[in-house]
Amino acid sequence: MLGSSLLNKNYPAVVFHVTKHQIKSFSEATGQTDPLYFNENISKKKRPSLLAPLTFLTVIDHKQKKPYQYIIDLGMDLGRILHAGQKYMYHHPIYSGDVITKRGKISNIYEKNNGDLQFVEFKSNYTNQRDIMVAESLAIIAYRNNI
Amino acid sequence: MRLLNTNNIKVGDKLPELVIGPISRNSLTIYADASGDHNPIHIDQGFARQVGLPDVIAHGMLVMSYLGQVLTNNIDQSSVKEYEVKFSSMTNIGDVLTCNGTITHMDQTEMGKLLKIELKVLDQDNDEKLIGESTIMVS
Repeated sequence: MLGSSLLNKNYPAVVFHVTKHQIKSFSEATGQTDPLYFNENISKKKRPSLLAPLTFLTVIDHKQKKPYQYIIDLGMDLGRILHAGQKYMYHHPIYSGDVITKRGKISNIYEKNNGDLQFVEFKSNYTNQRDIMVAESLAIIAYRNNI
Repeated sequence: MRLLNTNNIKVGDKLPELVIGPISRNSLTIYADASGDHNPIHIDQGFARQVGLPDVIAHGMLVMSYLGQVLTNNIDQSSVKEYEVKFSSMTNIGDVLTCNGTITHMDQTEMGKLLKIELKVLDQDNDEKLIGESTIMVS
């Protein structure tokens, strides 16, 4: 299997500043309508700032210098990967103004269909500026060996 | 937003479904910019063809984001503890997506009411695009 020696490899922490603009544009791009994601004044009644929607963690995963580094390290070609699954565990809300630190590692590597498909799981956790763990994620990537 | 009254729900209840689409190239370009996922398989038709696809495909995370609204349109986001999906098949340009959720489990715990919701996205031909599950804790 490609890159099987990289199992449990940890990746350097990535720091991400959550802005209002990012929450608004991501919410707009994903068809959100709830004012909690757009309007600070409505949001402020119960919350410190704009709330990040459920899947906003993917912005933190992608808006960094080398979002696909682990794919490259595994020797995989970007055109042959497919996103097979995604899991999020939520512990605390993320708001605009938060500074999130993401730490991740390659947590599983396996194959199916006699090696036609190889799978990689990448596990991450996210902590905010007060060192509260806000969320955890697991990305499952499938690699098409035979195309 | 009018949230679900969790005092008055039972296993088997369905959340109001959400219909999205048709998926356009423009919506994928906008999503690529907003999310930072610039994988060309979602925005460059030539690249998609090189890797054996007829055309660009939608970002899985865009479809997961649409489906998540079945939860947050009806349930306070702070009650959503887990949300996971498996992408069953590719979502193509022109697809119309129906997103739905069904309560499959309900349990009164010390921390509050625990719900499991089974989630699904089907296209216009009833092909399954994505299946998922969410764990909800209403305190």
